Amino acid sequence: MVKVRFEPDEIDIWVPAGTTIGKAALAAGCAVEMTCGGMGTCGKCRVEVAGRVGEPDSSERRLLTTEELAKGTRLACRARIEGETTVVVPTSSRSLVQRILSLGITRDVHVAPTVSKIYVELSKPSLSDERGEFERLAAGLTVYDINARIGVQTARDLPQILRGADYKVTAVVSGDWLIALEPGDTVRSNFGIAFDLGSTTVVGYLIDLNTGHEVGVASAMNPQMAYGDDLVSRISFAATEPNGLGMLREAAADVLNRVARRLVELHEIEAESIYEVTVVGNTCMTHLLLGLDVSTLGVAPYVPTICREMTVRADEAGLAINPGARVHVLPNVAGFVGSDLVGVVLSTLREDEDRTRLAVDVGTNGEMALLHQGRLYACSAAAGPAFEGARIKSGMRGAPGAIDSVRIGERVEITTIDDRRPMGLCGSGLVDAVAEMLDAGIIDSTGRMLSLDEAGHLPLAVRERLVEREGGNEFILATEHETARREPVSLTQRDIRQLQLAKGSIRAAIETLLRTAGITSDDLTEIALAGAFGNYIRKESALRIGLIPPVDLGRIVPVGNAAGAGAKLALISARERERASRLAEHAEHVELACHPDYQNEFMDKMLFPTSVGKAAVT
Amino acid sequence: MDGLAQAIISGKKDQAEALAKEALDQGVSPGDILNKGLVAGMNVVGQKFKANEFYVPEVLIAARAMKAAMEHLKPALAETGTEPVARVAIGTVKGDLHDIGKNLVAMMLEGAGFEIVDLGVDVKPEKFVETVKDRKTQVVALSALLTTTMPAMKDTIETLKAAGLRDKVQIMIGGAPVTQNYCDEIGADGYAPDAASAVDKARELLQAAV
Repeated sequence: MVKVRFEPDEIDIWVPAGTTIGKAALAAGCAVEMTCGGMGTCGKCRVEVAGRVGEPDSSERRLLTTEELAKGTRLACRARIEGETTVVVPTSSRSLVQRILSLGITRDVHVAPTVSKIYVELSKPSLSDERGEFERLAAGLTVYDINARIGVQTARDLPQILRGADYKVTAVVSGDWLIALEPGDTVRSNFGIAFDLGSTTVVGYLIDLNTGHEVGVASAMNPQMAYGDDLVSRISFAATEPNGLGMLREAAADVLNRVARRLVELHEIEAESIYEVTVVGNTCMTHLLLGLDVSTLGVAPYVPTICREMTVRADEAGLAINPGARVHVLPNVAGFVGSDLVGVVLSTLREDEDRTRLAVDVGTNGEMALLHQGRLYACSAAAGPAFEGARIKSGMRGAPGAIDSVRIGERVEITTIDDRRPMGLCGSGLVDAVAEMLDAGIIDSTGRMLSLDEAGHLPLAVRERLVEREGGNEFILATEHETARREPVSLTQRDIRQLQLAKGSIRAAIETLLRTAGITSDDLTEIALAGAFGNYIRKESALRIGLIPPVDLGRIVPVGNAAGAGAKLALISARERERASRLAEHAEHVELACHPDYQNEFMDKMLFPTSVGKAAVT
Repeated sequence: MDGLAQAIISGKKDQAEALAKEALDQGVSPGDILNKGLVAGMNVVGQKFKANEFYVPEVLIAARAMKAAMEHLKPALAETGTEPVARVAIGTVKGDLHDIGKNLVAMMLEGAGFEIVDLGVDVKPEKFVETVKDRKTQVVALSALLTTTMPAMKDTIETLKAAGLRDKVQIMIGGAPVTQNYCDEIGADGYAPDAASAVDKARELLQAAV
């Protein structure tokens, strides 16, 4: 094996002697443009070489000037490596194609999506070259180490596109599959979307697959809520309503399409330029998207139809992007613990680590994973949509105008997302408000809001926000003069109860996981707080309401939408997607329904600590 | 006793326990503590629940306080031979693991002076039969959360019939998808839409049976 160094990337790679520079560059992640398919006719793959490389062949002598050759300029597709060499690849010769080859790789290529767009200029058919149109195209791709395959839908359009484009086309390849063919050079438009398909909130991240960069993000509420607030009611709906499953599936595809459309319009791209999608979500959510039978998921022992990753065509999934685009639904762990938790683990935990870490995804279903001594424990606890603003009187998701922080001292101070006029209360604002109200003594540890007679000790500016109503008191966070809609934004007694249910469920699940692993919260080096609603819960507030066990502040790390981050990782890197499958299989599912203590723990943990770190005393 | 009832209504567990113990020490009869303290408190909780003033969390919190006080009472109640209003065998039917609703009903019934034999979840019809025989329960309460597990309620009733026990028990059913219609259809004795009404229904069925 011979060492080749690529500059300015500073990548070293070992390849067998006799390998062309083009092939080595491809393996190293610095692919060069080989429009003519490596035939030595286009001259686009110029590189500068210093080291032991074979003599120039006829194509190189024809296309390169004597000055160029003297300087060390060579054609990457023709020049063969013989000994240690350094190759400088100028920007003008770079291709955006990324392939990982098993060719003596010594360093991970980080951005390596499964989709590549390759521009080729093919020789036209003639009597002396009567190869089929596909074979012609496939030959142009072999130099990129692609053993091209084609499905019938793509094959139907092949000849027309080739002829219409004068045989100058861009092939869109996913793995080895030719998923689309486009006239001309459209290499720059290569996009993918990573979706987090939540029960309440759906988020989509538009990624430029050539660079791995996030171009934009959009979100929407899941319309399946019309068929049921939570997973169990949706499962029931699928079982009882004629075509219930069909309706739920359509609603899922609809919302993904809506988010995709928003991204497409906002960033002025074509929907057809979206070639790959990853989806993470609760097992039930992804099953519904794929139209899979959820009835077994609804009854003990809660088995899904499938846990492994599934890949389908976009048109099969009902997504209005490039019809041949690949939609990868990431794997589930077991039961309701789905690919969303896998996404969280993918982005926040590293399996090879020594430290004991907990990742908690605070969504409609609180999912969490505990990594301890090489073992990964996972569970899910129904929390309800309170953290995403649903079932809360003034609740809304994390969008401009949502109150996202609250401070109560002599007065009540709030901030909103984008500093707009308050429109409602989002998850982090809700947690903040309750934490502050606990500290101010407006709520007691059982969660009850004071009556006006009991509130004499409060500062006036605070007390005047306490309103007594039939069916429970209310605390005004923003008056009708302050808000966008001229209606006050308030927190009701009912809202607090919803939060208690949700946080009791999650906290009890955390305690159960710790007990299963045989450790206590003192052993946790880190708690990563993730949330499907995209913004961050203030750690002090999370502690104050007892959502998480008492640990040092420094050990709590808010990580935003970790499930979505995992979906993004799996989109931009095939390696990460493989890692996701390994994680899903390796994780040990803790079924809370089988833990007799969970119920009691749940009731206990619905109450609020009397102060940070102290259990409720009632 | 008002204090005890109040402690339960506000979910103040430690206070409820303390007051119950104090009352016992002062010689108040366990039956009185049960009825004037616990049952009275849970009655108010039930009413507020029906009036939409209390929701599930408040009821669970109150029930937690009630259970704690009850733990202190149980030995004393057994000693004085205080009979429960009736004995109830309660469980979530076969194939179903959901139990919060069932637990809530169990707690409300307990707070109303019933003795509860909680069979847990995923309970086979045969287990209900066995329990009725062994523990002489007068009421069988069945819970199911999914339409797909509801049929197990019918199975349970049929199994009780086959064992010759049908006319010895009052059968109540409940759960999110369950309806009065379904109750009539499968030949159960009563249906209640929530934990508070379950107490009323249980009392009603037992009155009628007398």
